[in-house]
Amino acid sequence: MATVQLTKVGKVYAGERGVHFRAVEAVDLAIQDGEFCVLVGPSGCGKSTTLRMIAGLEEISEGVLEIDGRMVNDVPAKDRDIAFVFQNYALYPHLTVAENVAFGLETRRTHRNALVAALTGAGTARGEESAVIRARVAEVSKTLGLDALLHRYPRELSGGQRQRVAVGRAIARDPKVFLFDEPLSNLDARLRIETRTELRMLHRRLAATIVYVTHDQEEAMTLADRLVVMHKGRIQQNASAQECYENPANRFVAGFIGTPPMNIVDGHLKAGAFVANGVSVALGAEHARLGDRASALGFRPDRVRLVAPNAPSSVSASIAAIERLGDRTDVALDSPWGRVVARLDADATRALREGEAAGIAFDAAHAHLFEPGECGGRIVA
Amino acid sequence: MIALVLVAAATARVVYRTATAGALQSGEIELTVMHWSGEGGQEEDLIVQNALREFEQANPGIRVRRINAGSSGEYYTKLQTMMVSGEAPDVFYVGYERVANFAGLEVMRPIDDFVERERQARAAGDTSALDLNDFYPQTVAAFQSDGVRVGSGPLYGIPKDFTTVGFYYNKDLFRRAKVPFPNDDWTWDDYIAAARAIGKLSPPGTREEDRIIGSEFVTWSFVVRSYLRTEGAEAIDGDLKSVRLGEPASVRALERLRAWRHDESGALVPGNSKMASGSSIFNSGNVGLAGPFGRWVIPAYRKIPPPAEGGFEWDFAPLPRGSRASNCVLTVSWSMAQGTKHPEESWKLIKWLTNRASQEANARLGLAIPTMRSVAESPAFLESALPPANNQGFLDAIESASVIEWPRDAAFDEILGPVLEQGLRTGDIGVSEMVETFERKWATHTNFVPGGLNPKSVQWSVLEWLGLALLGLFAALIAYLLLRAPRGANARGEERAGFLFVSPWVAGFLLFMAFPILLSLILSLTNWKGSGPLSGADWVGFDNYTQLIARDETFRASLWVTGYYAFLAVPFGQALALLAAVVMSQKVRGIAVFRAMWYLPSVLAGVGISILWQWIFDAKVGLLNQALSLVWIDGPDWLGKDAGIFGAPAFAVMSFWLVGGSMMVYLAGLQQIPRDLYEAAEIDGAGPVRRFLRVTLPMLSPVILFNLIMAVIGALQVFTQAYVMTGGGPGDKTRFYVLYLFNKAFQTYDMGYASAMAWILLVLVLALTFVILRTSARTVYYESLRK
Repeated sequence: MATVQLTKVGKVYAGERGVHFRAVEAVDLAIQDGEFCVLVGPSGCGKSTTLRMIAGLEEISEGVLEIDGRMVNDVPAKDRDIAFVFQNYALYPHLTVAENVAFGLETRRTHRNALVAALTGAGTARGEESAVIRARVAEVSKTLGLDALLHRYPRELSGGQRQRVAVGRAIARDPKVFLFDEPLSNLDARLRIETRTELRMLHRRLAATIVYVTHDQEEAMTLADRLVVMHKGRIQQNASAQECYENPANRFVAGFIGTPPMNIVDGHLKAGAFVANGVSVALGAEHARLGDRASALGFRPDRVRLVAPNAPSSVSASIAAIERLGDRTDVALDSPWGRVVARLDADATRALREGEAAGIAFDAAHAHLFEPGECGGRIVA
Repeated sequence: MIALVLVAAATARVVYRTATAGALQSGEIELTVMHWSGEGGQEEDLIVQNALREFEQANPGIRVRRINAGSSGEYYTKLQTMMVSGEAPDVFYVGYERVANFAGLEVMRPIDDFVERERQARAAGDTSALDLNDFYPQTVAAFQSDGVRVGSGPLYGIPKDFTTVGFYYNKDLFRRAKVPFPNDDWTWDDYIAAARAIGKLSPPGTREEDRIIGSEFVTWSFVVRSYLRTEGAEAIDGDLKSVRLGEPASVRALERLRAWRHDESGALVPGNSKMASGSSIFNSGNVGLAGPFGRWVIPAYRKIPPPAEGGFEWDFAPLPRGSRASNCVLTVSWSMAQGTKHPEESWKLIKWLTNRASQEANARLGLAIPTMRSVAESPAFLESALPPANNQGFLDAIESASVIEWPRDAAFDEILGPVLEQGLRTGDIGVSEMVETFERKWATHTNFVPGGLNPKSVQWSVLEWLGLALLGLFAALIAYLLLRAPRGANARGEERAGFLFVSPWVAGFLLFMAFPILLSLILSLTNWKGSGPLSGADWVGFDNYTQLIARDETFRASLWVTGYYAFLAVPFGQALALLAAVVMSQKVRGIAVFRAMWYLPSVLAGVGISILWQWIFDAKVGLLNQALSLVWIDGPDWLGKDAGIFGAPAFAVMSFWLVGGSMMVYLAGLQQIPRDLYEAAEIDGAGPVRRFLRVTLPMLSPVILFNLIMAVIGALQVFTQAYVMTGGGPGDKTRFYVLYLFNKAFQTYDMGYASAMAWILLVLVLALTFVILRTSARTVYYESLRK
């Protein structure tokens, strides 16, 4: 197992007439040995490009990539000792499951041994190596529950089985680093959640260094030891999942992490109160220190309370939609602050009806303030 | 449905007929005239055109539709096709060598009645009447035939012109070599002495292509037969059955001719250069004599500039004499179709086209000798401002000249020609082997009497009923499919719509594919000659097949060379195509241009390209051998003497030029392979070679299989290149299967035999495809098919 260190790594695609597109900019990232690091962000944010640069499938335009302390910028993919699980698995369709899992092992036989084996017939070297490979395939298939499928072809497998074979192919070689590129996105929702758990368990068992790319923030949060939120080619926040949730570094992270997403309202601070669209809500004494300034206010749906309309420190609203999820209920409200979503306990919402008036109140201690703009930084009171 | 198509076709035909006939005014009749204008080119075309226009003006009420078929070779193919389909032109050219054959097939109308009427008219004082006595008797006799031989029997045409043969010589080279100019009574000794002297003019070390050579001596069969006659020898007896090529006099003459070319240097143009042979070599000015040719080369030779403009002076001398003087009469007539609806008008036209005015016009063109003695011996022919000066030489040769008779069976020349080429030009076999080969092949051919001595006629009515029964069966099958198991009205309606939509294709398939295919199967069991109606065909059972497989050595040779070629062209060609596709799939700036360049040759392929390749493979001056000589390799005579070993490889190399088509298919296949797989393999530690072997090849295997089968079929059907570049020779060394099939079908008109060959090829292709499919089943990976 190994560490992965990215220093000021960037990727520039040359466009037409000298116009360049910067897919990844100045990414600094240190991944510890055995760490499960998830790169998350919307599509086009540069997460896959970053992963492919680590794999060696894309050239690194700028910066330094080290695996286990060795700079590998110019080391070809096959010599980086990494494994890569593709979004659509990239299983060799003409090979059986066993052959797919063994492929990487076969190619890594020393050339000399292969030559000797070829010249001397079933030479000992070949025989021994074959036995080793067979044993390894058996071991991997047992770990992943592939035993019954070993002689099938990929086209005869379900999506989940193919995904397991792809993982099997990756772990067979016992690489230094595992790279996953949205490995669950082709599975249906239920299977995705199951597999997610399996992956987490597998990680613990293998104690492997994993870099994992997904656009699904929920998947990212459940898997990550370290969550790296990316947007527009840059890292927005690099912290634990909990930290990203509780203390988003900026407005983008705040909006991206968490379901339903955080309610964010553009307005300004005025004497310790937040004013938007003429409606003002007092935040508290410590916010008064921040002075009068334009800002955005964020509060998570589960921090919203519904109060009587026109209650103090509330925003009057009407209930636009009620989504009952069993244990809880999501209520969408139309207010002068725009559309606000509240996540409430199911029992407390039984009497609510769509179209009714309500007041929106929230706990100022759990509210977040950001600088204006898409990636406006967090304002700490 | 099918009936509908037939009715539509018939209607279209009637409409077409009416439309074309509409141009004719009432009371007018139309004559169709067909001719060629090979060596005479545009001028001959113009002369015929003018003569016909004047004829129309002189004969209101007769319209003439003229067809110029191009060269004489294409002419006969077209003529025979028209005759078979019952649309023979009313008046047409007939070469002396076809007379017996056409007379036997009864496709020409005898014109003795007209000639007799002219004679009487003349006796009565009509000076415009035809005077056959004014014609050179040899030329008239050439068109009298009893259906087997010529010289006696009904007259089948009026000779329009003729030629004798001899050598054209370069006066400047004769002067330089201090050799006297030949006179009209010169001998072969004079000939070879002159050739040898001229052959010594070049200083040693002269480049091959600049070297001065004594003489070009073509080895066409009628020329060689004329040559033999000057030594009192013959290739075939007067009975047109017994071969006399092996008689001592023949062998002596052949040995002498062979030795002149192959045992000496400089006397005769060597046999290993395709570029520098035939009549055009004379134009270079590096050859002392060229022949034996008739007057047909004169239009081309008149383009040789005078000495002051860098050309040379030249003249003609008739064929030298050996133990006796001899020459041949090559002549063409205007003849009339047996089935013409307008014999009177046709005769009028023939008379017009062979009258004094037409002959004088032809005489001025210089292409041939007028057949009217009075025109030939007039200034119109003899006194031309243009060379050759010795027009009299052509006339002097007539005295000893006669028509060379050919057996009716065109196979005689098809067998004799290649053998003479092999023995006398490329020289890869000796005279004795040449004689043996000819005798053996001719015997095999003549001993083959398909269907025995009393073959039964084909019972076409039975076959027609059988065909109708098949058609009925087919209709019943469709009806059954339509009416079977009552299902929902929707399903039935859908089914009917389906059949309705495919019906144009089905009708087209039945009419244009199934019918000809079945007909060819039936024909392969007959001796149909391709001329004359199908009803004349006899039932011969499997005789064609047994002859082909058990006895026909040319068939075996063609199988061998085709197989040899396929063995080289298919694997190497496909490997090259795949390699090119891999290279062309790189994402490089301007790759589209490179792809287009690879594909371009496939667009250009054809006759012209074949001629270019002929130059590349030329033994002496070809690009390939010159390139090889740079690395001190003495290249073989690819398409000549060494064609037995190097012929098929040469054609295979040529086929590599056309891999663009296969490459495009591979390219499409390559782009279907997901990039992920390559990336996965790369991460799995596979280098470029292993990625190619373990990812590209298996993923491409269905495409490879497809291309392979297509390439095999294509390789078995090679035709154009061989037809243009070698004509199958020397001998049968490059006679590819389809070329031999073509020879049989359209040169000797053994349609039944050729049909049998086509069916054997079909079975071979099917068998090979089956074997390939079977053996590949385990190695080909299909994405979409369940295991």
